[in-house]
Amino acid sequence: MDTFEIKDEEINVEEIMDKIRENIKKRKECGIYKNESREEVEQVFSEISSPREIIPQEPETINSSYDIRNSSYSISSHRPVLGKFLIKGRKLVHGEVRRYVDPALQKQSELNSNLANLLSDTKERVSSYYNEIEQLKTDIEKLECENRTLKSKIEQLNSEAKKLNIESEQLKSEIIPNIKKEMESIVSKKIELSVSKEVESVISAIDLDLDNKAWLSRILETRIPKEYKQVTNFPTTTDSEINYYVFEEKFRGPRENILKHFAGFIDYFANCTNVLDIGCGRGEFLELARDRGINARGIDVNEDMINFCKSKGLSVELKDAIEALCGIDDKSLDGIFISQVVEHLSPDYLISMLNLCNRKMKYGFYIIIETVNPLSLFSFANFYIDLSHVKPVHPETLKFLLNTTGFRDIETKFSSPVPSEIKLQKLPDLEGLAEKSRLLVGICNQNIDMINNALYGAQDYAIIGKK
Amino acid sequence: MGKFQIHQINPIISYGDAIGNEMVEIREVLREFGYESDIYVKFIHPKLEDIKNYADYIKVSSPQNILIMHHATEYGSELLDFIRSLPDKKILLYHNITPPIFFQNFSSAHEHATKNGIYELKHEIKNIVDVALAVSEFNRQDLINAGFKKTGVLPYLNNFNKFDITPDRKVIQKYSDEFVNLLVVGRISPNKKVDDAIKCFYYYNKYINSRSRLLLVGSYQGMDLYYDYLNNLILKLGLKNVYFTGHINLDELISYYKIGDVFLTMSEHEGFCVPLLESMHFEVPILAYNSTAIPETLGGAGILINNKNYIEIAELINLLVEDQVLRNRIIKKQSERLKFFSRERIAGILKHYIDTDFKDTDSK
Repeated sequence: MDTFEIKDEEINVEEIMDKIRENIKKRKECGIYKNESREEVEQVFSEISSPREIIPQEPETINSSYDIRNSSYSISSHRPVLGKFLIKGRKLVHGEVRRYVDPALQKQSELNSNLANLLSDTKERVSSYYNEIEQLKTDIEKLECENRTLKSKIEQLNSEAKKLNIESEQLKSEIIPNIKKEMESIVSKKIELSVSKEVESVISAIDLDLDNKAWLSRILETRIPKEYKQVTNFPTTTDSEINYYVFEEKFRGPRENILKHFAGFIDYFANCTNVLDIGCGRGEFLELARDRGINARGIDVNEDMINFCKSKGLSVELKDAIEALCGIDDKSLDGIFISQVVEHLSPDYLISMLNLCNRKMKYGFYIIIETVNPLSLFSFANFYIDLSHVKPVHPETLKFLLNTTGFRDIETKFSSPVPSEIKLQKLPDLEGLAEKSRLLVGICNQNIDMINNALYGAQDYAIIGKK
Repeated sequence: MGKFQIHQINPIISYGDAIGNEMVEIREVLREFGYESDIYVKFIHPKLEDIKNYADYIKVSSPQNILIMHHATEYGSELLDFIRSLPDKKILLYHNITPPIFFQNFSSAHEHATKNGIYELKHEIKNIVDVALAVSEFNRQDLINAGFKKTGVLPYLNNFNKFDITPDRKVIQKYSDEFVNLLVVGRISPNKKVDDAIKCFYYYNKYINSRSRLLLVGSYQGMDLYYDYLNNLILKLGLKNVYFTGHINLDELISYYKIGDVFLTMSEHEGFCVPLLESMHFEVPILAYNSTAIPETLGGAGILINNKNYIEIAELINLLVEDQVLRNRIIKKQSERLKFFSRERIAGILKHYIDTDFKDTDSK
């Protein structure tokens, strides 16, 4: 049934209804009607029309109508003549009735009055209870709202947790194999890299060796007199000098070992800016100093050594020690390093050199002199392997000389121990030996130690002094 | 035998209400017919003249006379006893009694009066009157249900010439502007569901046309609680353009019809609904809830509302305002319907009853 009914053939109600629905739809789309459906509207109106709004009997009405006594009753008659008698008669009856009825009405009116008061009081109470209930309702609504929000948050968190679980599972299944693969590839690459690095280092070592060898051959070639160059089949040694570079390479050991050996001394020259290496040789000390950021230069009397050092880019000069020291300002050096030199010098030269060293050094800096240890029979026995060695210098002698030239805080450091396989072997402390035998083994081993110290003591020593 | 007289009797005659107006009009018609005719009542409105006290009727009472009893509310035993004692032929003109349930919680006085009125109709008037007429077929059914034997319909007699007076200027000046004026005319009473009219207006005013007003034309005297309730509703809905006119004079009523754009009634109980005729006369399109005697009075004119769908009603109000073709067609049909209620026609029906049913009947 349509909302409207128009009984006119010229008017099409359906068309009107369509128009109305269309207009409503448009207004809804424009947001004018919002979501108000008919039910919601009824809800709004029913709230307004709630029983509280339509107060059945206001207290005023009750209060004004509690008195039920009929005071407006009047006795009259339309009959002109008979009326007077009728009125009198009715008044008489009315009086009698009132005498009987009035007390009851009076009581009823009193009761009504009390009830009206009671109602009024009750109404006030109900009103305050109603307010309280309304307050409670709004509180409950608030709580429900909060509860709903919390629930939705919990649900959201749950769903997020689920999502995360799923995602982590996916990660496990998808990413971990990928990571494994990548790790494997990285490891294999690293291995490749390290192998290639090692190969490179080996190659560079070989290259270096080749360079050195080529350099040596060039040096040697320059020394061969032209006339002999053509007859290479007859090598002679007319040159009184030996090739000290080759000699060092053979008897002193490879440069790498020397570098490691010198590392024990370099800390004495930390932060120094003007260190002199007397007898720099193949420049191991200078190289070490350069790596540590210490400014150091070297002098040597061997031209081959100087050329080699120069090829390495080191700061060196072909000079005799005294000549070089004389050319240096007094108190300008903050370090002097002299390794495997003093055994090549005459005592006078040594003393003069040490005096000059003291003079050229700044106060508070170190001088280190390293030489062959004559206290070890093994190194003393090998002392003259080097033909250029003049005489070994006893540690105490060197200490004394340093002391007398003005150095202080002098200490001695022994180094280059003899490999244990060369030394005398100790007797083993076998199980089941008698106590006496064990005692004898102990004494023997002590003696072996003493002999080993005398025979196979440290091959080198260094005297360190401070100006 | 001299010509018999035809008089009317009622407990009260009020100024400007439907029954009072009709009583005056019937008297005029009867006088025009050449009958001696007067109105007898117990309570007379001070504004009215030429009305007699019921007690004086005894002077003219005669078995040949016809006494028309109007009935719309409680008579009271005194008046009923008086009428019962008369030898005249008694004709009932039933205007309908609003079911007491409508007044529950709003007016115990009205509830009580209507209950008594119904009781009187069923138990006393039925035994007093000789013929019972109703202003509508709907009302006639009430009479049949109450056990009346001889019944008929005499539609409301209205003299539209009474509107040919100068309308009240103040009202026209106040409301004659570009605003759409929605009219609700009639006593402010719960059965008229003025609250539903306010709800319709709420939608129209809030969502469709804020430049509109609702004019509630009619007295709210004795209906304080309902009036308060309506005011509360208006307040809660935040409506600003709703006006209660209270009791008004005829010239003011004319002015309201003149400035009215749409007539709306959501009433759920009407015995006839005279304002429908007035709207037809003043060419205001009618939008009326389909209940009780309303469809009968409209007789196919105007627009009937079958469901109280406030949104759709608001939209239709808008169509009636904006669609001139629709509006003119509705007004045209209303004007055609109005001819049915012409004074001459209704007077003719009355004359027919006088000449037939009334004449032939014997007084009880």
